[in-house]
Amino acid sequence: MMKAQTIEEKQYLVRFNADTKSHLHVLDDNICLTKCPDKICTIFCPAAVYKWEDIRMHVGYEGCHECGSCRIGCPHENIRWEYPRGGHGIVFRLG
Amino acid sequence: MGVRETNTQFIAGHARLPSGMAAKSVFDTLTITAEVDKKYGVIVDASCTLATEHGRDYVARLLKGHSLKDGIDEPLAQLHEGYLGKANQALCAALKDLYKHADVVVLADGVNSLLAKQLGFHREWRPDEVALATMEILKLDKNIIEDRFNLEANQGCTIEIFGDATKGILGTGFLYTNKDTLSIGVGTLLSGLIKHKIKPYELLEYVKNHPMIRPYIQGSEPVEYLAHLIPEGGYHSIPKVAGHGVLVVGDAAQLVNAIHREGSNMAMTSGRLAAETIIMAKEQNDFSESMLDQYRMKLMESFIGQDLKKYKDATHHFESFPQYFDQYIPMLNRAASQMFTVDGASKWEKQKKIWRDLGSTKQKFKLARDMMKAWKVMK
Repeated sequence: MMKAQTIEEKQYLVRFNADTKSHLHVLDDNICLTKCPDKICTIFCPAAVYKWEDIRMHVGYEGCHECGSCRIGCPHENIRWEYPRGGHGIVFRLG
Repeated sequence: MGVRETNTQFIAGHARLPSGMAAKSVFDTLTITAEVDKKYGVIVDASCTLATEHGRDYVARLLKGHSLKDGIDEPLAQLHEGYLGKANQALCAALKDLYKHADVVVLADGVNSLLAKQLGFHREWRPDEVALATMEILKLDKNIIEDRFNLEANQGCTIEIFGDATKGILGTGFLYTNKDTLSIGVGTLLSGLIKHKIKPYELLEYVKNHPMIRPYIQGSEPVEYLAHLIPEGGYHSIPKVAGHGVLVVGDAAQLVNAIHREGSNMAMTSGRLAAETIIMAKEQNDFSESMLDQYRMKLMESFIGQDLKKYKDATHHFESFPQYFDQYIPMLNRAASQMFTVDGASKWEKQKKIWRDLGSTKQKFKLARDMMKAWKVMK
């Protein structure tokens, strides 16, 4: 049995040229807090960008793969999704 | 008060500013704006975001009166020679950007085509119209790959993984050989991940550790991890693909055959059809929606439209009736395993047991009905 690789280990393999400003915005933290018990973005985001911290959603945009899932999958359409500014964001080396 | 009819258009061009100049402290980029007479293309007024009023006036005076129909070589040369401030290059670049006018823009910006959405060509995709695929690149010695996958030099191999790999959710896995790496991945509809609360990277680990897959990737080392959405809405999700001066191709137009794992062929062909349509439009100097709509017709007549039509209800059917993936495929696996196990029981006995395992008469009828339905959406 191979040792299962964690998301942190996977993310470590990826190169990012992070911008200083986030391209992902939770529009209303209150919606996450009061209307969204599942916080499903913390599950389906392939880079575990979204982490719930007691009362607010922490958005680790630096590790974003720019796949767009959060924009489409947020049940409350509470995420504003843009591409990072030109030259910033994920850098694929091989795939 | 009536609406005043305007004879002019407002256009803008942008360029990056060099560091260490006055305007840089206000804006990151330099913008030149111009008001242009619609009929004659003459610049009737102009401005820019230089910091000093003097600079702005100079640029405006220089540009006014030029007609864009004569091209911009002349004002460009005047600007280049006349404006000796630090923003010289940025001004010239912004002026070129301002002049850049495309007759047709082809939206090839992928599954996250914010531009097509912005134009109102489609609403936001639903989670059952996109599949989230995660993939890993695994480094493995070239000779081991060739031995393990039974390949000669310069040959490749792909393995499609169907069934248990996606834990009963609609989707597939794949394993490709590259020269000295393997690509392994798994994709399921985003709606499936949401419904079953599955983390995509854990599903990928599940596939990698599956007893059928593990031996293929043994001894390899992960070197990159990727995630991507694939537009799998199919025929019913194709957005508006032609508008006034705009065409949409590839993933941006949902051109993916999810059943056959095809997409790049459709992207390339749609690009060719778009180009052919633009050539035709250019010949007639007509870039209206009715003209460019020829692209949609060509697209639908081609294998792209035909194939997507063939499977128009397939994905939706298998998504709505999960029994195919979570019951029938495991059933088929069990049946095959029984039939091919040599354990002293006769094949007739085995067949009888498989038949019994299908369930009650009622369940068998349901199964038969489901098979008919599957045939209908796939044929």
